[in-house]
Parts: sequence; structure tokens; C-alpha cells
Amino acid sequence: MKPTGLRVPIPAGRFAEQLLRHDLPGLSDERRRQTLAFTQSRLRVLPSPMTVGVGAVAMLVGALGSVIGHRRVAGVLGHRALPVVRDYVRLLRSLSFAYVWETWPDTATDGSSISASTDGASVVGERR
Amino acid sequence: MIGSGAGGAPTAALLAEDGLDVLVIEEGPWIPQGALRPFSLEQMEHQYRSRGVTVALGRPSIAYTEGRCAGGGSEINSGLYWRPPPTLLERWRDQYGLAALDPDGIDSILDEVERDLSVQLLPGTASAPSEMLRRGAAALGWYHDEVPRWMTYSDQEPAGRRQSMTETYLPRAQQAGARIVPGCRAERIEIGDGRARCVVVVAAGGDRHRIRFRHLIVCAGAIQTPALLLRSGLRRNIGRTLAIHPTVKLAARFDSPINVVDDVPVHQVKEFAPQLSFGGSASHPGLVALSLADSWDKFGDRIVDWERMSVYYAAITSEGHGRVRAIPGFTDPLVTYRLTRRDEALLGRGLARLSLLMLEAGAQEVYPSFRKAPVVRTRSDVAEQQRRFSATRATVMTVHLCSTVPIGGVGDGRRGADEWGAIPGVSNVAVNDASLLPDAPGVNPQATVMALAIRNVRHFIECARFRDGAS
Repeated sequence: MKPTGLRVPIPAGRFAEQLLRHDLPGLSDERRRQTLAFTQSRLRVLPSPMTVGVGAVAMLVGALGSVIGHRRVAGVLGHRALPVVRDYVRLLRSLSFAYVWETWPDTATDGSSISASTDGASVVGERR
Repeated sequence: MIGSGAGGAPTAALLAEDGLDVLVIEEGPWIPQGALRPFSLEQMEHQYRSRGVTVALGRPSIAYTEGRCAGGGSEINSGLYWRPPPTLLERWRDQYGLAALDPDGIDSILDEVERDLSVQLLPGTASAPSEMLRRGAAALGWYHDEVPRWMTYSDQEPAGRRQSMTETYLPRAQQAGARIVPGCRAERIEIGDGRARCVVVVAAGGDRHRIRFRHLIVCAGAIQTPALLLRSGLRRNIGRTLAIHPTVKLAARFDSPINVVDDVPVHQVKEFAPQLSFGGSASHPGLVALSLADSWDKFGDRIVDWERMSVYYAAITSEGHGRVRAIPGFTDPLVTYRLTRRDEALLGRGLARLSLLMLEAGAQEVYPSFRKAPVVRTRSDVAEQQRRFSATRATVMTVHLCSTVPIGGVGDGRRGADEWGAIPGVSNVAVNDASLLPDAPGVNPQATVMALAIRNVRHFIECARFRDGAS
């Protein structure tokens, strides 16, 4: 069989958003939108075997969220390290945190902006 | 040739300089050294495989990184240079039946490599995060040293310019007539009657082409090289013996700003080497946040102090093993790795000793990267940290991958390639990259990879059975 790229979108959107709201409630809507776009862009290029595994977990979590609410699922999974799901949560959280603090280093623990820096501009270089 | 990293680049240069017609296929783009901020998300976007999100599955899963660009890992790594210890080469020679592995010969090749890559110590003082490593080790009486780097320093670039493959061996190869084609992925090798006939490649636009050759040398790195061989039906001892240096991390907070966003410390602590080593990691604020993420509810409020923090690692020589598997229908290989109980215990001990070292260096607080980790402020906290540690709760990573097509003597039942990297059973395919290392060297492996690659390619040039077919 000829290997082909497997680039199936991972249905992380609702859960990823609620997890981000749970972890960083002070993040502005615009920054949250940018962060989620970044997370999705990384999920789109996962190695193909990972895409299958992460996609399966994302579907499971998404289905659970549609039954009992994405916010509630994010609240539970954000705190509890359930087997299998914990790596999915860690992946989403890692991508989000790396993006948020590299892009806006003046971000407080809750995601709010410490200084009124402008959205979208990295200030890392200015702080060296 | 397939791949242009630390194995492929010197191979291409030496072959071209010997007058051979050399074509190098490189999957990633050619990005000049220094064009992107080191260790940044932007660099990951352009120069890392899967933009830096690659994982060896297991309990715990282990995140790893692979370069995917002209120059391979040499473009994105720390640039720290370690000669393989003579005892390592002697052990490899004796344990794996490598009769032709001559430590003195490797030493003289390394002299050349050091000249070619301008390997040198920092001309000035080390950065503050590096100084903390030195200070902590000195206070404990642990062996430590500044590690030289392949860097040049000038008034224009006082922080140094990494002498990666795009700065050194690849231009040399091009000057000697080698053609390097970036953005071109090798899909599989077509083999018949014991010879590789052609390689099927996918160009940047998606078109497939067949490239014919007399000899094929695969230098795509410890994951992609076995994956390509497996996809091509070459399976004997391929991809079964992945070796890595697993690392665990912590963030340490000091009383004044120390963070350096785009460089890593040059000091390493080798008191417990090769089993256990300590060093510093890239520490831009995104990576500091990552190091706190496992215990975000407890550590998260410290992120506002990232300028006073830096990230450090404890690396072990693992006794576990991993595999690289090619799965029909998938572009990418499945990578797995299993730590042994001894590995897990050693990671815990290593992280505890690293915390102690940071306290001795003057850290006010240390934040180990595992779930339910305590904030470490005193020696008694270190004991509590070690008690709570579990590898399955930790963020385990590696940047050193090797040994998926290990060289071995005739009697070595695990060998994937012969002593010089040739693949048994197919007369014109060889491997010449980190895949060939018999096991994990316990030090940054680039120098070892380059020395073996140069040794092998010289043998290839001199060897009559290859010479006959060279054009």
C-alpha cells in the first residue's frame, strides 16, 4: 500500500476552548481565538499514527462534552489525570501555554494581561 | 543520498570532493542559519518535524524532537560538543564485535571535525543560567565543566553563530558539485534482485518521481531512516533498538533576573555520568510555562516571575528500548519507547539531585515538572520531591535518538548494518547517521555521529567493491 498523508481534523475545538477558559479565565477573547487557532494548526500536522490516537480521544471527550457539557468536562479533566485522556489534556495545555507566554510574556497566571500590551505582538525580544 | 543532517552533510561533502556525482534529497526546507530565533515556536514551525509535536508512545510517553530541514538537527540543537569517551568506543568495539572500530582513528577524525566546525569555548563569560549550574556543582563538589560548542564569535554576532551543516559541510558539498534538493520526501526504495533500483520521492508540489542511482546512502535520522527502510521491505533488525537519553525537567527561580530567551547554558554537570547528567534547557517564557504546567494549580502563579527563572534538565542513559514501526497506509512511523524500572528510579533520583544543585546555586524555589510535585525550598523538600516522583506523572522528553539500525560485527545478532553502515541483503544501500550508533553514548551524540559518518564514507570511497561502480 502506498503511504499517504493522514490529515484528518481532530475535533478538539469545543473542549480545547473550554479547557483554555478553565486554565486561563482572564485571557481576552482575541487572544483565546489566536491561541486556539495555533493549537488547531499544530494538531493538524501531528504524525499520522498520533492523529488517529489523539483523534479517537478527542471524539470520546467531545461526545462526553455534548452529553454533560464541555465546560464541565474541561473542569473535571483539567484537574484529574485520567489514564489516556491525561496525555490529550497535557498536549492541549502544553500547546496553549507555550503559545500564550511566548507570544505575550506579560501574561498573568489567569491569562489576563499584566500590562496593556497590544495583542498579537511578541515582546520577548524587547525584554532581553 | 537521503537526508542532509550531521551524518548526511559530511558524507555528501566527502563523496563530492572525491569526484562522485552526488544528489542529496532533503525533506525539509533550506533555511539559513540564524534566520529564525533559536528554540522559538517559529523555528519549530519551519525546521522541526510535525512542528515539534512528536511523541514516542509508552508509559510515560516521551516527547522528542527531530530536525526537518537542510542540516537536520544541527540547525536546531544546542551546539554543545562532546567527544565520545574512549571507554565508550572500546566498549562498543568489544561488545558488538566492531573489529575495525579504532578509537585512535576516531580521535583523529574528531580533530578534523573540531577544525571544520570551529569548536571552541565561549570567549567571554557564560550566561547567568549557565553560571548557576557551575555555582551549584562547585558548592556540592560535583564534577562540572564548560562544554565547547560549534560556534564562531565576532563583534557582529557576540552570542555566536552556530556552525551547523548549512554553514559548513553542505556548502562544501555544493562547491564540489553536489546537488541538494530541499522539499523532497523519499517515500520508498524499490528493490529487486538484491539491489536498490530507484527511490520514489514526492516533490514539494506533490508529484512523484523515481530517482535512479548506483549507490544509495540513507541519512534521514534515527526515526526516518528505519521508517524508510521498513517501508521498502528491509526489516531485519531495523527499527527495533531505538535508544534515547530521557530527560526530566524543573524550573528554578532566583532572586534576580537570569532568563535568557534564545540560548542554553554551556555548563554541564557530569559527576554521575554517563548514567546521569545535568544541564540547562531553552527557557523562553513559553517553555517556562510548559515546565510549570504539570502542577499549574500549585506553580502557575509563579509564571509572572519568568525573568527570574530558568529551566534545567536531568538526563539519563536509559536501559529501556524503543521501536520504530512503519504502518501500511500511514506516512509517519509509529514510535514507542519503554523505560525500565531502573530508568524510572534514576529519573527520580536525577531530578532530586538537580533540585539540590539548584538550591546550592542559590535558587529560592524549584518547581519540578511532574504532577503533584512540591515546591522545593529546602533539602527536606528535596526528599519529599523524590518520594512523590513517578515517571508516569512527569513530562519526559528527549532530543537524542539513535541506534535504530545499529552497526555490528558478523556475530552480532542485533546488527541492522555491517561495521561500515552497509545494509545486509541489498548490495548498494548504506546508512550513515545516528541510526548506526550501537547504543546511546551518554553524551551529546553529534560528534560521534559525524566521526562515524566520516569514517564510513572514507571506507566507502576506498572500498573496491563500491569503487567499481562509482561514476
